[in-house]
Amino acid sequence: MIALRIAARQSLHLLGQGLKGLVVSPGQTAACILSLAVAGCLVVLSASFGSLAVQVLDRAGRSAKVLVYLKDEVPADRVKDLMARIGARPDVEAVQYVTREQDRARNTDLLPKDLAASMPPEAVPGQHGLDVTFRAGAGGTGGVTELAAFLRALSGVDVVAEPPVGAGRLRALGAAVGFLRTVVTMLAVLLLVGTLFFVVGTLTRTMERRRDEISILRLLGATDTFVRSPILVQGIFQGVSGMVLGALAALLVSGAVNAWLAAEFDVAVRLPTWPGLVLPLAVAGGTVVGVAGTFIATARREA
Amino acid sequence: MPLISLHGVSKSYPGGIEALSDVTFDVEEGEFVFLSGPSGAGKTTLLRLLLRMEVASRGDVLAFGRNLRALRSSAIPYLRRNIGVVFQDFRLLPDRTVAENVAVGLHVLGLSRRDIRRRVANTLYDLDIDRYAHHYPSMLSGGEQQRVAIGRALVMHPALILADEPTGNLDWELSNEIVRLFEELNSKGTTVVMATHDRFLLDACPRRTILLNRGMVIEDRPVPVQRTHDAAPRPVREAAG
Repeated sequence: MIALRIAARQSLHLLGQGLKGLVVSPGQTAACILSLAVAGCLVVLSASFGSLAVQVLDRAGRSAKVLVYLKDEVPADRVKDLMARIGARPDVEAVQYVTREQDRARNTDLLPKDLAASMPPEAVPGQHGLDVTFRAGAGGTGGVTELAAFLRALSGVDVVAEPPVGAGRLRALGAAVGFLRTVVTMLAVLLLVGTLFFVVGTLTRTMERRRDEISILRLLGATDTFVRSPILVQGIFQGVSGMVLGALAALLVSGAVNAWLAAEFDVAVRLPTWPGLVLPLAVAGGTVVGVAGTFIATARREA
Repeated sequence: MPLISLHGVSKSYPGGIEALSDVTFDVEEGEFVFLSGPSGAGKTTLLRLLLRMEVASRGDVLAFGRNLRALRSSAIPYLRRNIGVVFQDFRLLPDRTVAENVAVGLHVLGLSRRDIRRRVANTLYDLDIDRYAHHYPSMLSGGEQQRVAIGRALVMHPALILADEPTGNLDWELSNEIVRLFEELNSKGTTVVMATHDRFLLDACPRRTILLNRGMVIEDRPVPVQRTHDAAPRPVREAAG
């Protein structure tokens, strides 16, 4: 009981000392919290915008059409059989037969008008095939790829093309978005590492200011825990307050973007915000930054 | 069992500098011992070994019955809680008041605010500096500052006081006063080991004196039978409150 009381008193004292440490260099502390907030905000926004891009790509993928060119010799009953097999797939919305003439007409539409007018109709290629429409909500770009592979493996299929927004383009877009997400995430992580050293700098400065006190405390019998705890309190306070501020800023920005999207474009897609996840993660992340900062600061300069 | 025991203690530093060489002596509980010798004789190194700020290169240093070489680092703070340290340069915290400076170590012990206030008030009263409780160190004279430093050590109720040239920055009168203060503490049972190179002080306050030179004990002079100085110790008043 007495030991508990002593521990409680010491904890309160150390908490107070840690909070006092925040005002040792108020400007540096504020800059540290602000930079952590910016880094935290960027991390959350990069995740949000990345998720939004994936959502948009998925929706695009869901309405994609795949054009399956059939070999000339495929007879009508085989065509029906193919349509039935393809139409039975759960990710296929519709299968429509395209005659040679219809395909030729489509190709003619793709040519410049003067060139098309100067050419005899038989000069424009036409091949019979199947228009396969993807079912909405059936798996995005990955689904298109998988369906294309299935179609290519069918006998009688000559070529699988992907007009007008095909899997190839979606894959390229997806790769670009993925690359951008990686770059932004790496930038955010670099910023976080930079701010970690900012935290370390602030803590080191506090330790430098308290150097005489620390040496006296050590001579009077202070344990490592007693000496380092105020630094840890200061580090965690800076880390958590910075990251929580950043998360709140990101939620505000996301809310504003969503309001703008709804007002300007009347679209169903929204920037995801995950407030129930982001705030606890910010607290956890801030704690990790604070603990890591304290560890580095005290290791660099024996407290 | 002696409170402090050194057996064949040597301390060398990189570059072949030998600060202490084969030092052997004991200090009994309740003794007052001067460590004397010229600058560089090894007095401070010896005190640092006793505080376990450094470890002997050879030999054994025992304090409170424990071999300091074998002491785990986690046990060092608890050893130091039994030792009060006083320095030549006082080492007071300039941004803390006298009372706060004296109280600084009590938080380590986890005492309540009330106990801290009481212990600090008693200590300041005993040292006759209670009127300066809310002053900052810069507002005090050298002698008063050294009293505050002694108060910071005493408030922890140490069994042993190590003083490293505590009168080095003080004039003769104040030096005498500080030594008398240590004598008073010693008369109450606190063991005192005081490093000084002040020969006049040694003559004025005859106590057991261990003379060091170039890291070696060249003389261990016992307490003279008759004291030669006539300075009466200042009576320590009863604690208030």
